[in-house]
Amino acid sequence: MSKLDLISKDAAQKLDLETKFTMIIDRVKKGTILVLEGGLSPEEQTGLINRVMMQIEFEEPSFAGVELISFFNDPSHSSFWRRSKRQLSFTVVAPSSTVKILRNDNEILSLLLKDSYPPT
Amino acid sequence: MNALTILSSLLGKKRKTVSIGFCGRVNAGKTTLANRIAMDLAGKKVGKVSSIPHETRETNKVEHIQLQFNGKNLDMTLVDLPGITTKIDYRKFMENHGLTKEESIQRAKEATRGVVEAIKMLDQIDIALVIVDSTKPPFDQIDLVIVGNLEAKGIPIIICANKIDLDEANPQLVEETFNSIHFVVPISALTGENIESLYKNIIIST
Repeated sequence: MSKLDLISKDAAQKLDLETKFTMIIDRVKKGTILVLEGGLSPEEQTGLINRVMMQIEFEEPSFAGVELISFFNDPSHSSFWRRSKRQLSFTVVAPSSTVKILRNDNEILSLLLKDSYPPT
Repeated sequence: MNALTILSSLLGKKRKTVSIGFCGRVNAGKTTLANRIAMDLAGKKVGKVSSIPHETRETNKVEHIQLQFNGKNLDMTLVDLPGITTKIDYRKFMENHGLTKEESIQRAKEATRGVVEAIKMLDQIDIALVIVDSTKPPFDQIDLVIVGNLEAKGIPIIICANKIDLDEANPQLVEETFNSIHFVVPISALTGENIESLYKNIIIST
């Protein structure tokens, strides 16, 4: 069974960057899907990817990384340039072992949850 | 050292070297494009290419590649970066590519280090070629993260809509997605199709 946590913008803003990354990775490693209101900027996302790479495990059961998806406020603004101008609405971080992205086109994010990952 | 470099040295005039970074998702064709340019301009290769993901796990550099276009000359360092991803599962190398468990774990460990290195290197390039696989939808989060980071650093970006030699390629969609602010060049790194247009855009970006 998978768990989903929505982290409010206020709660996320109270955390410094390192604490935020630790909180995200700790939860995702336990099999939780996180939705971060307000989203992560591209710079924050590369910081998170860095830390995820350092946490990847090679023993069973292994943590193999994350799926990282950001959504934006105005779906009519479909161009990449406008998307990158931080009209971020929310960012989803999920364990890659439990989640498969079926559709992500700025209108619908569709995720398939798998049961192969054994959450602790 | 070529004649122009020697002459410049004798005159005490140092020519500017521009580092060109090849950035993007795993298996987008970064090394194939770097090899294409290096072979085309200098008759040498930058790195090894493979259908197994994460073949490039360390940054490869080739210095002093001379690009002459429309009367301008550019001294380039080609910097081929490992592919950036959010996940690396060593079991995929076993299941999909027949590697042993030991080989797969080793490759995965090196690949994680490669991703960290690639992100770090984004700070150290002068012009970024972001290689996008035009056979896939261009809304991948990794493309967004790479372009967003480069924009924040003020690094000029050229989007290379690669693999136009394949029937399923849709470079128009890549152009529609990115064209409002960045140069987009449909290209085949494999065949060299439209490489001249890329050279032109590199010169314009300097």
